[in-house]
Amino acid sequence: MLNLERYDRQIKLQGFGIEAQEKLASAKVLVIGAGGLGCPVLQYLTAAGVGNIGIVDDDRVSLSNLHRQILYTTNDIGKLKTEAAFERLSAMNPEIQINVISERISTKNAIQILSDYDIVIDCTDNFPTRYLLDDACRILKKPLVFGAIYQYEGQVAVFNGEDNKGSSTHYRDLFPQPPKPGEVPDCNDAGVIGVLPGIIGTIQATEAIKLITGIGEPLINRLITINVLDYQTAIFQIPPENLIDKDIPSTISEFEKMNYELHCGIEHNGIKNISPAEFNSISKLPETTIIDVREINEFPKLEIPYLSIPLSHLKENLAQIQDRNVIVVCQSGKRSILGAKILKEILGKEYKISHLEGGINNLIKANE
Amino acid sequence: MATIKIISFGRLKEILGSDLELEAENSDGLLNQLNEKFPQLKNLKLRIAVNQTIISENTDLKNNDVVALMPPYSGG
Repeated sequence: MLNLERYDRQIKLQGFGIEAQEKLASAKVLVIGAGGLGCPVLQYLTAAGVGNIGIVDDDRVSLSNLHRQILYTTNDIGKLKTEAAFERLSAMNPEIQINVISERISTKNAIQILSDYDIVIDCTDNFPTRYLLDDACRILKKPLVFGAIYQYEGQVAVFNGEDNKGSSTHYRDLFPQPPKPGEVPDCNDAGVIGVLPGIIGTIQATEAIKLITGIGEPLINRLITINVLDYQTAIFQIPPENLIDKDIPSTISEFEKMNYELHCGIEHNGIKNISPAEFNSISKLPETTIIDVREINEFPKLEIPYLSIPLSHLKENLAQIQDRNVIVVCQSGKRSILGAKILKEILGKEYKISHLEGGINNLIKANE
Repeated sequence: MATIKIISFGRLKEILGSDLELEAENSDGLLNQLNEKFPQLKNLKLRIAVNQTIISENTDLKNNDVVALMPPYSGG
């Protein structure tokens, strides 16, 4: 039974009423990413009474999240975002169902997870996952509410919805191929003003509510851009591109064979290139070994635990590597890629090998 | 030649500095001029909109058209 008092102020709205509230109650919405965008999306969809909400994220709350990820408190640091969000959202509205999926979305689990939901909201923070979601939603024909931010600007669009001409577009119609790694800095590298994901995420939640209830005109095949510094706002029409013949998956089995890290140029020959910001976060993960392949007399040394094995002695010293995740570093990123290649060849697929792009030089610059 | 207003977003705004005006007959001509003026633009993925419609092919421009240059954002 609907709690009429809880939703009274929106039920009262002209053009909304009990009918729209019932549509919300029977809707199933999947939110991918419980970070800057995910927090306001989850908060408003929960408060509005969306009956079934899924949250997908494998990350934990850290102190530098808190200026914008407003579902979490200082006490949540170190907890899984999904679990902290579940606790907070259940307290906000115990009358809805919240499903927590504490995994990273991948080609292995995406189809199964997405199939249970009517609408998918892209609140992710990286290109490989954005292209993965776009392809999966296109193949499954699920409406996708896209949102993305950069410093003081944001973008929102609705893909895979039909406009009044019956045409529907995808993120690939907007940006057919991913940019090169490092071409577009993310929030970790470029910074972001805390209120921005609040605004952009709230627009994404609004679009989801419009799609579910049928009120207003959702941003189907249109991209809104907003700059919070001068409030320059524009809505762009996205025409469909001819995506056939482009090298993109069109069936579930093709999708499941994709490697989005490779597709986005982040992985090359099975080796992941990581930025200083990524290094700062993943170097602290359990079962991770950092190997400095510089000579013993090279400085500055890393301030975190690492193994020192000069590149010329790497092959003979593999027994020292006990962990499955290995990050190779050097001064400028040249020797570390060679070292990573050697490790990949000998250790094989069981190990996740990364190398720090631009080396310790780049790390020092980024941490200044 | 038509006078075109150029607006840009994200990193492109940092490269172009501010909104600017250029003379051009069509979108390809405009892009060539921009690439020459701002060589950093050359290898970047961007989409172009003319008067708020995203274009895929060379498009004729007329006086007072607004051309927007948009990069993808990944942040969330």
